[in-house]
Amino acid sequence: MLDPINLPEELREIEADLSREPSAEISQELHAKVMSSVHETIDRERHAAASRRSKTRHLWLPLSMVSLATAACVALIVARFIDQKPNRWRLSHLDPAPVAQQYANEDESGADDANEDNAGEDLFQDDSSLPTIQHYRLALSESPADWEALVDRELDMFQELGGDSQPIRWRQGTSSLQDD
Amino acid sequence: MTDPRPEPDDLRAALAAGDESAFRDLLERLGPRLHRAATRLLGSRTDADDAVQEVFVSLVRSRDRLIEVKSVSSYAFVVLYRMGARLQKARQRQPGLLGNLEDQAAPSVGPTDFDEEMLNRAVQSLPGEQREVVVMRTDGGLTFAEISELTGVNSNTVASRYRYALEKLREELKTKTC
Repeated sequence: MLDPINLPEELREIEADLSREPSAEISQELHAKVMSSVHETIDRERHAAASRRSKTRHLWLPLSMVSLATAACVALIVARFIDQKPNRWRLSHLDPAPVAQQYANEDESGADDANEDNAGEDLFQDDSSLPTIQHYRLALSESPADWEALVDRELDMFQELGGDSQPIRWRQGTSSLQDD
Repeated sequence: MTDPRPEPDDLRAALAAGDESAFRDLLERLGPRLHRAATRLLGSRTDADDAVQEVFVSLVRSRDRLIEVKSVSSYAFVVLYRMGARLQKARQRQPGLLGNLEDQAAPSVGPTDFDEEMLNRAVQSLPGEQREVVVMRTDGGLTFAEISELTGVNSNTVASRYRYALEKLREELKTKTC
């Protein structure tokens, strides 16, 4: 008994009759109907689950491509940004120190003529933005010998390119070009 | 002679995995009792057939839960009760959830045992509140506490209804056999 209840004998007999196993099985028709519903329900749920998995899988490909493309764009932007930074120190700006250092450090014996010419072209292409000699003075104020060497070389290049062959006053520390 | 078919609780894992043969075993094990309970509750074989079918569809849909339930059999009867209650509510029957079946056509149940058929008819003549307690206890094997939780009625009230129901059945059967 599941939970004892104080029943007289007569009522216990009725209870026992009610609880007896049914004498008849369910009809074959009902059996078939129930199993058909069970099969359909299981089948439907499995298809739905497979469809959900398939959709998720198909989403991965475009999502990953979008992520890669975004990452590539970000990397390009960052690289461009980093790449642009050294431009600030080019000769087009008024900071002669790196260029002066470049000439100062260059190995004269192994210098490539083509490179020198190119360097000269960089120097003389845009007169308006060229640094004045004063800038070079400032940059090389601690190394007069290097300063002299730099000036000589620049003068040579200037003359090779058809510039004025006369000595230039700025050798003597002026900031403008004057004939002797 | 012991039933060679597996006990419902032994089928939990297979049922949860969606094994159709496990559902077949469960139907063969529980089907007759479920059908009789449905007939006693609803008073119609057609309704009882539909109820059993719906119970099993519901069991398939909630098969993951079968691992956790205390008893697969009791769970099936709880589902049957709720289904029957919904069906009866849809028919707007009062009092109780099941209402009275006196005005319904006599069920075309086909048990071979005369006593069983008489018992079924007697149960169907009970008031709805008593009928549901008797069916859930004798067919479903639910305790008074479980029936109390299911119906929302105090367990002492459930026990009282059960006793009154049995007394009424005794009177009914005495009348018929005299």
